[in-house]
Amino acid sequence: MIGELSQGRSLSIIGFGECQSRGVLKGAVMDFRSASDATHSALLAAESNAGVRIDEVYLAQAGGHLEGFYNEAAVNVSAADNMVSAVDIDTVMRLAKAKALPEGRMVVHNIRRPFRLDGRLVPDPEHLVGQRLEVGYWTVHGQENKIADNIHVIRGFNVPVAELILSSLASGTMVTSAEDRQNGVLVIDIGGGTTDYALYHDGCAYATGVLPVGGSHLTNDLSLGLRLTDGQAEKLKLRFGSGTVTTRDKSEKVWLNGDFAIGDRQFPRQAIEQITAARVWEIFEVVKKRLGATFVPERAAAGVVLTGGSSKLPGIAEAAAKVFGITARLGEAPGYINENLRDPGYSTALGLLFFGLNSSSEAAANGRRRSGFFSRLFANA
Amino acid sequence: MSSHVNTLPQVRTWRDIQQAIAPKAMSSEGRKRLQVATAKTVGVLFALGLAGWGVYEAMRIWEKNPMAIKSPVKSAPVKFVDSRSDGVLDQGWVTRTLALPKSAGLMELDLIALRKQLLASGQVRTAVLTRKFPETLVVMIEERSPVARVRAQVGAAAAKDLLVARDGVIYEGVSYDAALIATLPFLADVPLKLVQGHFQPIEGMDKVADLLSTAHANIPALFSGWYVVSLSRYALDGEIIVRSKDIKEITFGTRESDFFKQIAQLDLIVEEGHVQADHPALSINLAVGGSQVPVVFEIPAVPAPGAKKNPTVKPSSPAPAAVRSEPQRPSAYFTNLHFPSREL
Repeated sequence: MIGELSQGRSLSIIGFGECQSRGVLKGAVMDFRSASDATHSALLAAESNAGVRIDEVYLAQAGGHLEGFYNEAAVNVSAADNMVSAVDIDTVMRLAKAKALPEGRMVVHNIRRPFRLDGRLVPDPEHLVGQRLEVGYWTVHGQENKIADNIHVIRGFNVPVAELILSSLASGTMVTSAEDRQNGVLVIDIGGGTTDYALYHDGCAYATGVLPVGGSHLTNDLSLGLRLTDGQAEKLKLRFGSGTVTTRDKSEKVWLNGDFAIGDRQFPRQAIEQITAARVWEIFEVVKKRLGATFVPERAAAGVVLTGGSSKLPGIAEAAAKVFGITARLGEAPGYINENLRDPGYSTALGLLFFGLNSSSEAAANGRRRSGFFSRLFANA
Repeated sequence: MSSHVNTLPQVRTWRDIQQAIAPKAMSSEGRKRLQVATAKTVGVLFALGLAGWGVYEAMRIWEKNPMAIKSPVKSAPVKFVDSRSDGVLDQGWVTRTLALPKSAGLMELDLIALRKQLLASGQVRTAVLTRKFPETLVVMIEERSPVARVRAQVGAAAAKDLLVARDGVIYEGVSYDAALIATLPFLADVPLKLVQGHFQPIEGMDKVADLLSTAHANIPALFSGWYVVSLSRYALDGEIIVRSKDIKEITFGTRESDFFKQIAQLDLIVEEGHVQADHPALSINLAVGGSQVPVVFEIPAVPAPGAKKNPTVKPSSPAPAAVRSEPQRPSAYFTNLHFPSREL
């Protein structure tokens, strides 16, 4: 998806391109050439659709290799009058972020939680009076070679990667409102090969994670269970798959193709629903288990928001509500998004553009210069 | 705390990953984009280098041979010099002063330098030179008008008469009618300052010019007898002294009263017959102001007892005053003037 920034304040979506994913399994590049070809054809399609050349890329990160941990630090306020200074804030932030990672791992995101000054939550503690300043970071880290592969696929198109953004954060920002995130919300993005989740409290992400299970596993389950090819299973999933079992009549059958041609077969509908619902239920159970004590239903007042391509499965919201014990709904893009781009499958790409807009605005507000003519000139060459 | 912070472990982030990859690993579209970007970079660097080299070359040529830059195109040689003047300077003078080379191209002319050549003559107040393509140089001149003459001597050279314009500029007059120049009075008691071969402008010439033009317009007959204008008391008292044929010293003030009134008073004195050949005035002081005009008369020579009156001496008739009709004479406005006279 290509967005054009005007005067650093507003963003216009001017084009998009898509193609069938190839060479990527569970968010990791398995075949560099295939992945490059697929990605580059999508980029080319987007460029020709927008009629512009892409300057830089905001790249979503997903994959089972991504993990997160929470680390916090505290400092005593240094000033004699106990007024928090910028130095105190910088010190506590550096301490909280400084945790050595295992060999071969590198940080993708450091997501800060609100500051605590003598135990009370404050968004900006500077110039406030207190004795003990605390802050915590949810650090997302990943396998260095897998992240590098993702970046190199994009660099193969000779476009620099400006930012890496966790897929769940990108989609979560798009399908939830600031009020939802303040009240507490769990965003689950069920993609093709992975399921990303992000739990928000107090307006910021408290926990994120990635499961190496996604919509393709539903297809695989159907393929194994009903002895079908992947293509046939995908077709059945899209037509009859469900997040919950709603068919009570065991004898109700559905045709594979419905064209009565040679090879067309009948399958019990209840069996299809049972297979898909079981996998969906399992995905939610694993997410809940991964969140553990971090997830408290009472602190997720805005409920569960489902997004991603597989969230279009009928009955999936009901399944999520039952597993998590709170309300669940399908995520919707904001009203100002074009009708053609409101599909849940686009929420991550839209979220990336949203991040791009925010980082540009922050750069403009902080007086930082975006990369200039010469740095771009030499970067691309 | 700071020492503790400085020993924190260095955490690697995704930004530490080297983004550049070998062209081999790129797709065909990526390689194409890389080639375009490289060509663009090389092109920009080349253009910058070219611009820098151009600036360097231009500066080098400017220092060595500025004319090479001034004549970037081959232009036609100047065939005509079209001069227009509001005075007496003619085409010949302009051509001689400019002294253009025969094959000089119109675009090669340094108009600023040519203008300076023209302005070197004090007679030229302003000069505008324009190129009229394809082969004509147009020169428009505004000249100074002479108000008076001044006699100057530089070093051992012979004294020569120079002209003085209203703005005080002293110059050698060219192409003027000699009869016209002869009517101009001489300036006297003027300190002339020579700076770099040119006389500095004379201060107060605007007042002198006003006085002379007023006199010339209103009392032409009297004015024709004025032969010296002295500025000896101008700096201190603001007075201009005129010496004429009939009156040895006429003093005009420049501070309060206007020249027309003083000229009218002078005219009245002459008109009323106070100044006659047999009763000549030595001086008339019009600078006093008001209705008081001190006039100093010369004591007529007392004939020796028994001497016969020279029959050849005739009372000089007053200068023809009826140049204009009576009511228009300035003296008509001052009929009740009182002249305290004093005989020496």
